[in-house]
Order: sequence, then structure tokens, then C-alpha cells
Amino acid sequence: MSLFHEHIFGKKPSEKPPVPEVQLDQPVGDEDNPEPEQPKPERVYWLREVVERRAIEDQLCLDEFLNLPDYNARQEYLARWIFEERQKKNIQLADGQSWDWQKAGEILEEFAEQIARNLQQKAEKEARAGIVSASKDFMKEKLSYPEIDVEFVQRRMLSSSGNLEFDTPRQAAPYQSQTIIESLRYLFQPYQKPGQEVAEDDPIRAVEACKKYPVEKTAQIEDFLIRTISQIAKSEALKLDRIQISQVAHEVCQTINTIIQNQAESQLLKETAVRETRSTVKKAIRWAAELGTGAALTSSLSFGQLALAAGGLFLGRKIFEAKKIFGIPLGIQDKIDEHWTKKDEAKVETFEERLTELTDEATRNFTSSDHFADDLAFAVSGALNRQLRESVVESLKKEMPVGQSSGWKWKETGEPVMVTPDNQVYWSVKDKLWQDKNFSNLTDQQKEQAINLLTLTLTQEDKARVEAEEVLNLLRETKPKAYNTILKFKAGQHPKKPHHSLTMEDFWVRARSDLISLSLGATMGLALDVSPYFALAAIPSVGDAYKIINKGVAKIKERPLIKEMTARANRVKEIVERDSYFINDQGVEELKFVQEQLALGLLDSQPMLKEKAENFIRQARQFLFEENGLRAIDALNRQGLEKSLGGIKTSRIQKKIPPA
Amino acid sequence: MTDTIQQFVQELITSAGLEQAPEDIRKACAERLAITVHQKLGVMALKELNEQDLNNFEKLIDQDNAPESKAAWEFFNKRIPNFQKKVEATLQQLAQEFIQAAVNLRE
Repeated sequence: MSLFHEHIFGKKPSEKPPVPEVQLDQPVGDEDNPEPEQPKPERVYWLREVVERRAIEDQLCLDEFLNLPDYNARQEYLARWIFEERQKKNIQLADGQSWDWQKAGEILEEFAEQIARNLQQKAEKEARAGIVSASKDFMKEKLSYPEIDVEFVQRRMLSSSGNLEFDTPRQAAPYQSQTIIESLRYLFQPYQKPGQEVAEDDPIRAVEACKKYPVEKTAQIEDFLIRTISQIAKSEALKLDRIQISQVAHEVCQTINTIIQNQAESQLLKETAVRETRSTVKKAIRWAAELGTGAALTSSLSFGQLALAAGGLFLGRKIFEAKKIFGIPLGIQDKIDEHWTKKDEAKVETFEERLTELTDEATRNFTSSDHFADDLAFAVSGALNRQLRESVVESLKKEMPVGQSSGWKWKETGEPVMVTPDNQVYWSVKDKLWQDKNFSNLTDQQKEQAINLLTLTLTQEDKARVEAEEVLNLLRETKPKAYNTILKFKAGQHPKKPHHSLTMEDFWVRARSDLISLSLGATMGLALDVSPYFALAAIPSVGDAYKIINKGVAKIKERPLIKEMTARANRVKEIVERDSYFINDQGVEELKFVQEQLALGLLDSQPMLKEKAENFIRQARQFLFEENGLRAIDALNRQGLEKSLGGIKTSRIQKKIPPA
Repeated sequence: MTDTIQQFVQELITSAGLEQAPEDIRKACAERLAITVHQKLGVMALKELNEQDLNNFEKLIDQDNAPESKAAWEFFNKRIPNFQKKVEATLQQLAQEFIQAAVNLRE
């Protein structure tokens, strides 16, 4: 062992006996002359050898390792290094199935601990020598470096090319069946008797715990849901492992929490609108209350922006932390901290108290509803179905290191490529999808298109944000009157009047900018729907594909939007909660109607109705599959489904679908 | 999200050759792209409208419900010269950028 190795890794407590290098396919003796039976070496020994024996200065390039930009890059680096060691030793592995994941994981964890110990020693020595700071933050940061994602590293080093492959058997997508819903309904019957305390494992108690999710993850809700889902998975032979069941349970918590919080926040917004004297803000808040915080249109006039426009009423630090869905622009939290006053604190406390009351009330409404067991059953069955991908975009957005450091990655070919800010979004998306085992069932084409679509979407978002900021800055110089009007317009204040918002200019300008540009854009979108002659001219390079003609899309033209949305949601409710459904002319129209509302996002503000609508569509698709042998039904896109329905419509099949 | 914008976004994804992306990702991206389109249109309007127009816009949306489509159309068509062409240009620019970037990613 070199001195440098000792310096970095520390002195080993004792040298272990050498472990024979393992060639997995190497025969041991033959049938005629069997060698004396020896304990079969573990497959993972070569890994232990690699990580213990090699001199760190040559193989791990510690300085380079420490300079890697982030956790993911370090995982890539470690995985690539071990993979190359494996290649050098010519270790062949037939597959990942018989690999001792646990043992290898332990080795890697020990390896990480060893690196950490030596890093600490190194840092302390350097600090003593005055080379670097020995501050706690520095040490903490450095000591977090050796954390190893043991599963990721193992998968990559085991693969044939060094790229991540998904060796575990593909998890069958959970399916929606009537028996699952019925079983869940049974399991979710509350058994609290009047005058009695709620039993510990009563579903009511679990739901009550959800109101604090995710701020407080209680063991109650997790245990209860995990037990229930495990029970269902066993009885229905669903191939779900513990982690997947846990993910489903978390998603259910989130759904229930959203339902409860939406109701509470909607009520709070209505109350706020009553108190609000500034007409524009008042109306905007009322819109948001009507639409719900999750509705697609509300995304344009998001809750956080409305809150900002309302003059700081909702500037609660706790609220900001808890309400990531608000889409609060980055950097605002710092401004809040900077300008926080006791007056603000008092406002927020009042706000939070009322929100707590309303949340309790919403929870009581949920648990005392006649549909309690139904609602919970749909929430779980929906989560089972979605189990994989639903919130990927959001998680990607949160993890996007836009404008941050650069680094390097390995391409499929094994050659390193430099990651620059220009392509960082792409690599981040790709990394995310690679690491998400739920994407293992996608074809290569689907994966590629998913990565590209996510990259383009996130890039356009960022560009639009920057453009909006630039235009507002330009207006300040070129059209000061209009700029002042914008300030007045969205802050609900005359700019000449002193207001603390004016001392937080950057903070407010961003909110105003977004709010007015999105208000204008949303209103303009309405305008386009009514235009009798609006059509996009063809884009030269794309040709006719871009001719968007306003055929039959002006469906919202004569009625106020909210009334129309409410009417549509009510119509969906009526359809999906009906006891029976017939595939006839009317039935086909209803199916298409429900599908269209889902696609338009009009049900997003009502998670439970959305669950039921999605279940309704799945039931109908399953029914069509069973009745008509449409083998590729799952792959049908909207047009394909409609086409199929058209054929069915012609044959006038009438069949009752069991109640959902 | 209005029907026209929704349709535009769907066409955009299809024309970029990304229609085989998984349905849930397509849907999530379509929603986000629609918001981006709205924001771009709003920014275009910001450049075009003057102070008086903005005051009038305030009046337009100062009601209990969202403005009717017809009223919104008349508002913009009256105050933004060549309104339709400018909308088309905004959307086309976005589409061209999007498609070009999609092509670049495939290369």
C-alpha cells in the first residue's frame, strides 16, 4: 500500500488474506477429476478487491473526483471507474439477476465510509497547514461527497456497456380492475362508532394524517396505506415491491392532501376576496377560488402570483415552504427574509390560523362524506395505475440546475462529453430518466422522445421567463407611463403611494410581470377561440403540419369561462358516477366528452372527479379491448381511440359496463 | 387553457416528431407549453399596448367572470394593429424555435 493510499484511505486495521480473482465462467475441475470441494467464492469479491486494493491516486483521481459538479456526476464517475476495473479484470457477468446486490451494496457503503474518513483526515491536515478553510460548512460539504447511490452504481458497472441498464424484471403495470376497487371499498369502510374514539387503524385517522402531508409524514398514514395496498397487491397478484407500494402510498397521501388543501384554500380565497377592496385583485382572487388552485387556467394566474398581487397577505414563510405548487419564483424567499417585519408576521399568523381551521373543516367534510370509502378507493386505484410517471416533470423542474456548474458525462459510446449550460437541461433530464426505474418499460424511441420533449418544454419555459423580464425592463425605459400602469394594475396600488412592495422592487416586478403578461395571454387565448377566421399560416419549413385552423374549437365563445368549466365538470360527474354505461351513440359521445375534458385539464382542480373520470376511461378501454380484441388498445392515441369508437358506434354494440 | 392554444401545442409536439413520447409526459408538457404560449402572447401584447389600453384591459377583466371570448377578441383586434398577424408571428416564432431545437437534439 502506498503512503498516499494510507494518507487518503487510512491504514487498514489488518490485511485480509488475498481473495482469488474470480472468473465467473471459469470451470473448476472437471467431472472425471473433480477438485476437492472448496467454498464457492462470492461473485462480489472482485469488487471488494477493486475498491480496497487499488491505489487511489491512480485509479480514482481524487482531485478530479472532488471537483465534480454534483452528486450525479460523482455517481457517474464512480460507476465508470468500477466498470473499467471490471473490464480490465475481464469479469463477465451473465446477467444482473444472480448478482449479490446486498453484499455489493455493503462493500460500496464501506468504500464510501472509507473515503469519507480519509477525506476528513486530508481536510484536517490541509486546514492545519492553512491550505483550506476548516469551517464546519466546508467539512460538511466535503464529507457528503462520498455518498454513493449503491443501486445506480451497481447497475451501471454490471451492464455490458457501462450504461445504465434495467436488469431487474420489468414490473407489470398495475391494472385497474373492478375487484381492486371493490376490495378497496371494503377495506376503507370507516368503523368509527358514534361517541367512540377513532381506532388507530381506522382509515379516517389515516386520512386525517394526510392533511399535514408532506410537512409531517406520519407513520400512521404510511403504515395503514402500505398494509392495505400490500394486501390488495397480494390478493390481486400485482407485482409490486416494497418501494413501489411505498410510492403509491405517498401518492395517495398527496392526492388526499391536495383535495383537502384545495378546498381550504379555495374557501380562504373567497373570504379574502370579500375583504379585498381593490377590484382587479378581488376579481382575480375570485377567479382563482372558483377554478381551484390546480386548474390549468389557474396555472396562468397562479396562486402565488395572486398572493403577491394581493399585497403581501400570504407572505408566510411556512406557507411558501409548504406550497411549492404556488410556483414562487426563485429568490423571493431571500427577499422575504430580508424585508420581513413583525406586521407581516401578524398577518401571516392570522392567515395561517384561519387556514388551519379551514383545513380541519375540509378534513371533516372528507371523512364524514357518504363517499368516503369510494373516494379513498379511487385515490388508491388511480395511484396504482399511475405509479410511474405522473410527477416527473415537476421533479425535473425542481432539479434543473439551469445556469449552474458544468461537468462531464459519458455518452452511450463511452466517450466523455462536456456538459455546458446549453445542454445541461438535456443531460439533467436524461440522467433523471435513466435513474428512474419506472421508465424501464419504455422503448428506446419513447425514451428518446420523452427526453427531448421534456428538454424542449423546460427550455422554452425558461426563455419565456427571461423574455418577460426583459420586456418589462424595456418598458420601464421606453414606456414609463405604461410601466407605471402595470405596477398599479397588478400591485393594486398607486405607485406614488408608499408601499413596502416598492422597496422590494425586484421581488414585486417579477410577480407583476408574470401576472400581467399571463393575464393578457390568457385573455388573448380566449380571443383566438372566437375568431371566425383565425388560422395560423403555414410555417415554411414544416408545411401543412402547422396549419392550425380554428375548426370547431370555439366552444367556449359565448359563455363565461368559469360557468362553462363548471358546467363541463358537472356533466363529467354525471356521466362517470352513473351506475351503468352503454356503448351506443350517446355513450360514445359521452366517452369522448369525458376524455376531452381530461385532455383539456378542466378536471385538474377536482382530483377526485379526475380519478373517477380516468377510471371511467380505463374501464371503457378495457371493455372495448375485451369485446373487440383491440390488441393495441393501450397504445391507441386519442385519434386512434376515436376511430375505434367510430367502428364500434357503427356496429351499435350495447353492453353494460359494471358500475365503477 | 383555451382550445386554440391547446390545439396549437398538440400540433407543435406532433410536428416536432415527439408524438411517441409517453402519454402522461406529453400531457404534462402540453400543459406547460400552453402556459408558455400564453405568456409569450401576453408579452407581445405588453409591447403593443399603451397606458390607456392597459387601463381598458383592466376594465375588461374587472368582472366576476373571465371575459367572453368575443369581447376579448374585439379588444385586441381594435387596439393592436394587425393583431392576427402578430399572433401568428409570435406562435410561428415559438414553433420554429421548438422544431429547430428538436432537430438539433436528434442530430
